[in-house]
Amino acid sequence: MSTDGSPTALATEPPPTPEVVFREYAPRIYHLARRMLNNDADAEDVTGEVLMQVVRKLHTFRGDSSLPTWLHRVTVNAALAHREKRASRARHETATGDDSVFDSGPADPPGAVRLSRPKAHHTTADVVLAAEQRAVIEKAVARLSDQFRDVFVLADVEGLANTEIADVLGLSLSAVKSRLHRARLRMRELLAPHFDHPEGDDR
Amino acid sequence: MTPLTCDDLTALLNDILNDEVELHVRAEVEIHLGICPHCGGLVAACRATITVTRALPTCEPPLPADLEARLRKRCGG
Repeated sequence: MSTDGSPTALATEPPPTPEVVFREYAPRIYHLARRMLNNDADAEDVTGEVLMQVVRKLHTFRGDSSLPTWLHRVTVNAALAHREKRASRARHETATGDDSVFDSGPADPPGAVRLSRPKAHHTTADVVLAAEQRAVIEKAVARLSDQFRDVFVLADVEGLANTEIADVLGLSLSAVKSRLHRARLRMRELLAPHFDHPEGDDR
Repeated sequence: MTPLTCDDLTALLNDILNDEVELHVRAEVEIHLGICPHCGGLVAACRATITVTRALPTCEPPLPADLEARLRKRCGG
């Protein structure tokens, strides 16, 4: 990595073109930002910002093996900075309870959409999510408060290790574990009505 | 070793879900999960939740055409 955190030229492959970056990575950047910020317009701003950063630095890439990791970090940092700016603008408003694990909002009617419980031998790639199932999950994620949603999204959507999350978010490892614990319990609670309930399942 | 309680199990939930339970505790966790339907259900439901949420990035929908056009314009593409 270079001093600014962008990948250094290690291989001899040519750098990816802006079109490749746009086609391959823009949706991932946008959806990650949208999950973290819970807002379409903010996610668009962050995606534009990240894409411009990437395009400016494309000449430093030789091969794109480190590009996804770098993009991930840049997107998370841009989303956090954007949220901070948004919070500053709204600082005259009453702060919400920082320790609340979920935002207020109406609960889904239980069982409105059924989520197929994945089989134990299925890999992640085997799980095909229908649009309405995706919507149920996204809605549950959106109901987590910011601090819990960040950790949950990075751990259980993006698949980062707890140590990586601590590094990206500037938290202690124990804080990451604690927030993830509570976020997972809340997500399980929010999604439980949508899962099929086989024998001996949780009540 | 003292058998685990449900509270112990809940405290270990993250480590269980991350497959990071220390070796000497693993057998006790398995024993408790085998005899306690509540904790067994809790772990199964959390694992199922993680599995479906981890599937999200593998099937991200494409960007809406108007959003894609705005982003391309912004990036000079």
